[in-house]
Amino acid sequence: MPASPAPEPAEIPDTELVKRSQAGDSRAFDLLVTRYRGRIYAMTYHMIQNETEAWDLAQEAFIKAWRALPGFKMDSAFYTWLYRIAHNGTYDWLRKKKIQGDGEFDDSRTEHKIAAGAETAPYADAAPDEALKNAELGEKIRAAIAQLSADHRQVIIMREIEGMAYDEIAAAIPCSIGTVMSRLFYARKKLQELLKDTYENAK
Amino acid sequence: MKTPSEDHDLIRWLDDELPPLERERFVTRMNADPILRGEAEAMRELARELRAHLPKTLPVPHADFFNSQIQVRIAREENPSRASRTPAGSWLEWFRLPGLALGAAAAALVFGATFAWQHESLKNSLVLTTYAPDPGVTAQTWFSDDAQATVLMLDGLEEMPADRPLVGFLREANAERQMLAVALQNEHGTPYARPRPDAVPLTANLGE
Repeated sequence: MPASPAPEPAEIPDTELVKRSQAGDSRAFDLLVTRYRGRIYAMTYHMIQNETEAWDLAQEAFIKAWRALPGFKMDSAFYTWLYRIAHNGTYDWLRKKKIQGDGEFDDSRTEHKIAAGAETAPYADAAPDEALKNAELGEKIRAAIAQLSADHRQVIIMREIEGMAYDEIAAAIPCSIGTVMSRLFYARKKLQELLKDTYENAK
Repeated sequence: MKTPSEDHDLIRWLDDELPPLERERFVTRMNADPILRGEAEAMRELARELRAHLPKTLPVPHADFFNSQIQVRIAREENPSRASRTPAGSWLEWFRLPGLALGAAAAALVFGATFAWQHESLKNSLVLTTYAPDPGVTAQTWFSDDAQATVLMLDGLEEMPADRPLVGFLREANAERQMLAVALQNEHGTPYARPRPDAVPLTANLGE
């Protein structure tokens, strides 16, 4: 009976790659990096909105994950665990930089072009003027998020981008579910205020 | 005036975190209160716009380099004497043809080889990192004033046929990959394999 072919890297489950990585197989870890680098980089980029720093922070998250892998008991999904490492590093970086919350537009922000194959590529079929309008709206949304405090920014990203439930957000930060709800409410209120002119002009 | 609890109900409704009975109650209240309804609709619109404009995944710039840097860091931590790193500057990546890659993947430590690639603009270039997929192969780089070329020393490759075709590429941040003229010598400096016939010298000024 012929041997079954080796599975494609994309078909190997996280748990197997994690076990191999824990045994010291850096190539298995490389597959995990490839699998999740886009999502981790998106989170760091949305949090700090600087391509170079986001790239470094995402890479640092993977290095920290590699170091911490021996202690990972697989009591959560690998991505959840990795996301927390990346989030904590990015949040600490934000706090150290003290760039959160005081409303100044940060000139160091770099605009990221969204690839056609990205998971969310909005309005791909829109007419050119519509696409331009959407690109401008996207830039205004990113500028508004840059003006949120680190605490508010992180809950918005976890909820709206990652789609995390309140208890998952509370566990990742960590804080109470009541705090998550309050932060989400005030973050959204602040964003509405910051984007008020944009919406009114669009009407 | 709303209470914090009512604010929480609003976002729990928005995020679909209300149990069915509470959700029903909230919808009834919202239908009877146009101000609350307006606020809820505005927040739902905001959430929709956020999701549309902030993708969950972004392409990582220089994704291969992103991965290889992680592997270099891991290798350095696992065995500090194994991985080498030259001072910072522009970074350079070289590629081997598939046949050569297979050769390099072999574990035998029988051969040392020096690749040299030449271009005027490379004189001040420094290789930031090197990465050999096979831990049995080590790589060192430097600029040779004598050869006027950037040299990549690979130690640990298995012996290769003299007619093995070779090609090298240079890639800098924000620039397209460009082909380099590559020469291969053995550990005594003797030309060992012919450069790939279709390899062409660089013409772009990459140093600026």
